[in-house]
Amino acid sequence: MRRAFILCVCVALACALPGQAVAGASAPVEVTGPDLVSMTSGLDGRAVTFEGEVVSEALAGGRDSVWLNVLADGVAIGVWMPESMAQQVREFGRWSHTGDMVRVTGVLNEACDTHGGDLDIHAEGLAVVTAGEARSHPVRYWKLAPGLAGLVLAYAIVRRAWRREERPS
Amino acid sequence: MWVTLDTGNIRAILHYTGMLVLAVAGAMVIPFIVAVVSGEWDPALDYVLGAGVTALVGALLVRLAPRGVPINRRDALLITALAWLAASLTAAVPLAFSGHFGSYLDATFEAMSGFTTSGLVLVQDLDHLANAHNVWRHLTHLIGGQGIVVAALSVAIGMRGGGAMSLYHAEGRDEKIMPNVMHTARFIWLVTAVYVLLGIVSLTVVNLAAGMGLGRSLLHAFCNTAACWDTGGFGPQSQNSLYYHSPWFEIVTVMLMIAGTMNFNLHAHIWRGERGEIFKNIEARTIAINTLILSMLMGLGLAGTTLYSSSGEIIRKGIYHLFSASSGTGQQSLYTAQWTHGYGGLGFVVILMAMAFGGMASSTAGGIKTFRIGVTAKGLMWRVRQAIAPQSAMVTESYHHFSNVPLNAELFSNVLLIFLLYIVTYITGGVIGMMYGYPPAEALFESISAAANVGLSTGITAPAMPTGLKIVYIIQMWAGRLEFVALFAIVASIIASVRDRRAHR
Repeated sequence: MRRAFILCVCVALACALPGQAVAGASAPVEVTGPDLVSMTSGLDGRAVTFEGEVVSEALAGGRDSVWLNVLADGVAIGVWMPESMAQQVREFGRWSHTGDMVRVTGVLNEACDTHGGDLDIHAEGLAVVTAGEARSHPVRYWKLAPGLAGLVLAYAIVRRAWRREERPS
Repeated sequence: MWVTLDTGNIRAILHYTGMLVLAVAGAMVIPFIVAVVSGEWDPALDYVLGAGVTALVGALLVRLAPRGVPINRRDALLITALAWLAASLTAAVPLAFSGHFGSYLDATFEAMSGFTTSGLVLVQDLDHLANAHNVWRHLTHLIGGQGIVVAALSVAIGMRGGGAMSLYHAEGRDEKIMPNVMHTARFIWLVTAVYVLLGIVSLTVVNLAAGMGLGRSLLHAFCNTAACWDTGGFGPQSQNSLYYHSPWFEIVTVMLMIAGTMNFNLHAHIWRGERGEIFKNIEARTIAINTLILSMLMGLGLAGTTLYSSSGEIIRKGIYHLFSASSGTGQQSLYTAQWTHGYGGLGFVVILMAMAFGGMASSTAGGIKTFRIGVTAKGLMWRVRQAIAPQSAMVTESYHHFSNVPLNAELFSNVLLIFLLYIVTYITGGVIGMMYGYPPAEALFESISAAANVGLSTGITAPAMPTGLKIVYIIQMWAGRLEFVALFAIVASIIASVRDRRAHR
């Protein structure tokens, strides 16, 4: 009886341990930016992966850590990571440039206990998918003519009106 | 009796509206310079075009009457109401050409939101917006927050006398801080300059410490100072306050919000060393009691949630947004869906109440205003005391608002009238939102946010929202900022003119 019990425990452990290992190694859920901030995705505390453009700049995030703000499908999300991980990002999105497109893998926190309740991602992996590049902003010179004409006309109208007022009636 | 406007009145009203429009054209020099310095050549031309169109419109209006043409109180109300609309319509021109707005209406919405220091946004792809356009958006907060008409007519253009004082009152400011309106306007700008400078320096330091470059630190510091001191709510990034992930940023911005929500007359007393006024003033007392009660309710509400129950989270997600709402700022470090999922019912209601009540009168804040809340509470107590007192007893009540003021029936009914108008506007906007198919709680939240010039959003305000609702929110922001009377004057004048024409046929 005792042997049978020990055998059962061993079998149960043998089954459970690989199960834990498999669960821990389960693939992160592929999501979009709006999924991350919907608050109804049921992904709080789970590993997720998504792609987006790194915008603006890396901000200090405490000891050897930084924040990258990643714009995914129109929603920008703060991603917290070790400084070394962020060093592969070369270009940040702004008016003049499109930032690097990155693939982020990390844990979604709908209210992060470490960061005052912020909705954020604690990154476990980051890979640059596409390098950023300069954005094209062709100068539309046609705006110059009506703009300057408006200013000159406005000056002339006001000057004429004020001169008329100053003229003795 | 409805007095119809004659041609002379209309010309005078349009003349002064034109002056304001010229001032808006002049202000476009600032984003133009920012564009040139940043090497943003196409946005620079947006401001050449915008200034040209705006200046031409202004000049055509200005020529309708001679300089210094006298105006009466009714004219002042109409100028004020028209001025805010004209400023928004013209300030929207460069924004509309930026490529970041779905339509000219969206750009006008943004400009009205900026001038009225509301902070609701329809800008698209904000994270790639040019520096010049970001500076212009935030400059509208700075111009509108101090009082667009007084700023333009009293300081820039130099209108004096009773007309200027009428305009000052028409803009929803009741306090006579200095002996004349010129000195009052200059004092308002002096206080603003000091706080803006302090804000820019503090936030630049915070930004530099966070690793931003000097140029961007200064740009973000200016934008966020304008947004918080003027209780506006715009931000240079789409995540608003959440972009910075910084408690230091939140501390500095909350201090600016508190300063921004204070009555300029209270600022004047503090500057003169009369600090005792803070403890006696009905507004200061009401805002302190309000904040205390709402903070406790917020703490209770968030403690009951699973997401924001720690003390740090209650402060950064609860108290921060409470100050943001009650000051009418609208800075937000939550995503829109978080208001209705995770924040809890009590926390949501506390934010609604804080937005509806608003800050102090004669400040940059919106909402019903704590002065009216305080007087209403005093008035109710007065009525109850009258009801239970013997018939022969003379029951009096007074309050302290820079001096001891006896409470009388006329004052009490005036306060209740504006109180009621705000409530009706909040509910009407909410009902219209519901008619467009939005859930009741979100529709009411957004309506209060627009009419109280707050800017917090549950996500209804978006480029894809119905055109009709965009127009409703524009009217709510406009009406809320002017505290209704100036807008009613326009409606009454139009009705009287139409009726008069019919009678003459």
